[in-house]
Amino acid sequence: MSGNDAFISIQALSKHFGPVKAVDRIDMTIGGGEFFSLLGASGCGKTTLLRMLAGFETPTAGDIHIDGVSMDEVAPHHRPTNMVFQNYAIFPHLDVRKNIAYGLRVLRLGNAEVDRRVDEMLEVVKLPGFGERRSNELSGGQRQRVALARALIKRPKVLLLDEPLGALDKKLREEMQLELRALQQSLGITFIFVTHDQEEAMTLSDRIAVMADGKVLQTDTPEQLYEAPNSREVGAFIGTMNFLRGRIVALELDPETIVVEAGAAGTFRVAGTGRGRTVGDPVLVGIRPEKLSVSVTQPADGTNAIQGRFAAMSYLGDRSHYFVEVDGLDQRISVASQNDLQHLLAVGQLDFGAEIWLTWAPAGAVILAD
Amino acid sequence: MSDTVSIAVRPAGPGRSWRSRLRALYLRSEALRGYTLLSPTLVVMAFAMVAPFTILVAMSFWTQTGFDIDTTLTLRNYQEAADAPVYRALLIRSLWISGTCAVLTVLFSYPMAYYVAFHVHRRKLVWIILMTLPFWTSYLLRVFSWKVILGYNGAINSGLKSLGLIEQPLEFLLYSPTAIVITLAHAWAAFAILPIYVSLEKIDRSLLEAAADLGDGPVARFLRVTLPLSLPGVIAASLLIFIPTVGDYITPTLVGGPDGIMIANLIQVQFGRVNDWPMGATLAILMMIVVGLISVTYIWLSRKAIERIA
Repeated sequence: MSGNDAFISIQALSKHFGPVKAVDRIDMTIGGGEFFSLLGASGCGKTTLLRMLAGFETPTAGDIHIDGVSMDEVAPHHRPTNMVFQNYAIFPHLDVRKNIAYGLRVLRLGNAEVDRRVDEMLEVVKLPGFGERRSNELSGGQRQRVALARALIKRPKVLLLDEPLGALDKKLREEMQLELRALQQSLGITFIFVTHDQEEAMTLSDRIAVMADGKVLQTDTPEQLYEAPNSREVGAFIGTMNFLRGRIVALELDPETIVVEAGAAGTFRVAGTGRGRTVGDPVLVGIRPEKLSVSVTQPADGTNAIQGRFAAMSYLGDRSHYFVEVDGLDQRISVASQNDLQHLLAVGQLDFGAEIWLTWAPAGAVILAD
Repeated sequence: MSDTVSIAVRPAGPGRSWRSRLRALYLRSEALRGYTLLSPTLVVMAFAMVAPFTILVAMSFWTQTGFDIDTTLTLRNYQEAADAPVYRALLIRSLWISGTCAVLTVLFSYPMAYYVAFHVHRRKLVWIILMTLPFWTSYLLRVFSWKVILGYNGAINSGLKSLGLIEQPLEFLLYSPTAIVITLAHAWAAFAILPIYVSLEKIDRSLLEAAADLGDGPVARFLRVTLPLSLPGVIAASLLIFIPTVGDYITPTLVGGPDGIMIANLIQVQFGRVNDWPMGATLAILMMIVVGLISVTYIWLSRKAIERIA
């Protein structure tokens, strides 16, 4: 984060559509120059929140401040924000130049200055020479660039992006992600990016707010969200996670470790502080698939291990996903593993139903709020 | 065996391939399939419109001599139409009345269409049907009802009199070009509302949000996005009213009075009482050419104007 840490501050913001609480008492602060993503499944309220920032929806309750100014009474056309719409909303009756220059009319610049700025933006979004085209003569990726240029030419304090890459194919999307990130870093503008694609949010963002049912579940850096989700929902939404339900049976001090007894999954150690917890507390333990290793021989005593049967596998080229059935657990445990030589030798020839062991380090698991 | 087969097949061969080739051509060519769809209408058009029109054009180059028609080709009728000031005056008056009528109808219809397109969210169809309700009654009935409203002892005059606002009934209300404009505007409103509504309804709402986002207030948004994008509807609406009303002769006869005679009244008289069909044909064709030229210029000008605004 650079500059002001609370460049945008959202307090107790709610938006109700009849009985539906699209956004439910959200508090949030976003720093100046930050690339901030709102991530969630469709209907979680992320687009409504973005539209309230732009001024297209009036909050039912709560307040938004941008750069210290309350947006309560500010109409959309006077806000220091610009938006890239999901369908790009390119004006069909205007060519690319006039689309990009659209917002400059309010600034009452001379023709020469307008031309200079449009040319500059066409360079920035890599569309020089496309000025005379109409929107129906552009590809999806080009339209996306025009929408971006049109929003950026007014040099907004905040750029709002509503799933702008959703309609692009995978290759183009990845290319645009890199360009967006580079653009944001060179311009230093605050980007607020709405997406349902967790990979996209992880690639682009400084911080991500994971939303569900109009509420924010967790706001954190991509790394923290992945490694230390605070709840089952976040763990399950960002990537894949195996969950084991159990009870604390002992708290160890050096190193700080929590010993968990998890029924069919046996007893194992989780690295972490026991502060605030007592022996006997029920806990939910989450383990990422790639933290688990597969072993065909029984590991030494004292190692975290579960015994199970090899049930299914999907081959993804660079890595594979294995699914392991454990007696007494109602869900299969998923294991991700790089397809290096050792694995191919050790597991590649395994038959379905073969007895295997899953092992993991105490630091590989996290304890979640249940 | 193989000889017998080839002999048996050969006569059928060319016939089948001719048929299937035609079929393939039909399936391949979109234009051909289009013409097939059009063909019933095309046949009707050819007989019911092109033929009379050809006769009309031919007749305009003939001359009436007493009860006979002289079929030697001449431009005399056109010469006469250009020289006699009454024809020109009536044509200009007709264009003026229809033009005013088209402008007023579009101006009054646009807000209605706009309201239904943008502010009515349920049962839009009911609203549209209600707006076009006047169109459900007979044309003559609508004209007569305006006579009742605008007449010497009509609704407006007796209303104003009973309020004490006027002593004598207002005589300019009925039997004037104003009465024609009012009657036509009401009668043709449905033709303006529908195309304007359709063009407004098609506008993607996110375009208006984008305009707001880029700093345009409501007025600028309307002028720079809504109006240009609804322009096809506005052009269609004004032409749909302008073109047929120039040639109207019923409304001017019933509510126009002596100052409200239009070119079509004159054309009607040529084919009727005056019995100078070639002159009637000439006037009809002149009217058509002028209306055509005005329409093309109008389309061109409005496109230019909108480009300038945006």
